[in-house]
Amino acid sequence: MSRRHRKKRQAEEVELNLAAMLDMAFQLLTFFILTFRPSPIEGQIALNLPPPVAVTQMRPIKETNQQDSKGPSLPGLGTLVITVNAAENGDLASLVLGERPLLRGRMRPGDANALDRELQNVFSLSGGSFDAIQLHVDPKLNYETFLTLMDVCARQKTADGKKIEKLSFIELKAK
Amino acid sequence: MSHGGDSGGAEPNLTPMLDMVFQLITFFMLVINFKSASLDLSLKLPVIGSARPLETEGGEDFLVLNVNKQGEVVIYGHVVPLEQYIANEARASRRKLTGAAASDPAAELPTTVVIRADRGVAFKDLNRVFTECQKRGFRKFALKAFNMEEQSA
Repeated sequence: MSRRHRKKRQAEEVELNLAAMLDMAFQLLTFFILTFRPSPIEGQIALNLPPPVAVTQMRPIKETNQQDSKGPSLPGLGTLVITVNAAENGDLASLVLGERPLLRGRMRPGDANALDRELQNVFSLSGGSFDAIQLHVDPKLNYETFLTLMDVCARQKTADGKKIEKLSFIELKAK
Repeated sequence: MSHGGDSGGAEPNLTPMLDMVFQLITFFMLVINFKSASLDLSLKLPVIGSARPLETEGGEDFLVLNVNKQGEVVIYGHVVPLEQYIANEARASRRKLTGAAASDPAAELPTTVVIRADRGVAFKDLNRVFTECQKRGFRKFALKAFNMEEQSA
């Protein structure tokens, strides 16, 4: 009795049809291979940008404190103004730090470092006179030059070692 | 002479092939990133040495704006009207605010605006995007760039 049952079970062994499953798996694989597009690794510069308040010229904190006993409460106080002019093709034409011309002509590889050094000097030698930077930017300036300048400005630290957080930019009127 | 194989043609063992295919599918499923669809990969981003990849904790909210060389904002391959799009996104972001900030129209929005702009775009076009975002309450910005020349090629 039991031997007959065993024979019957062996004969009826279920065989899965793997071909259909393989077809479907290959279709899925084809879809994923065709839609696979590795995205490039992009860097970024993070900024906190409240709406800017236009500042016409550099106003060191100390200088204003001597005139105004109420202390640093006026807009633009302690703000270092950098004026950026552009050529017709969008490249840098000139960069003026406060009222002092610093760079002239198209931005070269060493210019960003020169600006960085200059800003470090201004912030360390001014003894805490400045705690903010405002860029006055020509509307024609290209994004790459603008971002390079923003990057240099965002790296600056005040005399007491705190990172510059008040960074803003306004658009110059078209000439 | 007979080899005793009266059961017919040989059947290949499909199990290892199926295993391999499933492993490949698993790999592609894990690496697929649907978020990259929002990125316009035709843009030539600027190259900035100190640009660092984004480090997130997973809960942040981002609004990606692709700005092409003509200064147009491109979302999922379509040029969108800037003012209307930012207004809609700001409204959606404002809904995520809680407590007193939810009822304050001047409250800072929690969303970070990710700007992917072509390296040749003029500042006036870019400033239009910044100003519109700031007007609607966005304060956090991330400016995208490559940190090596090879990546941008």
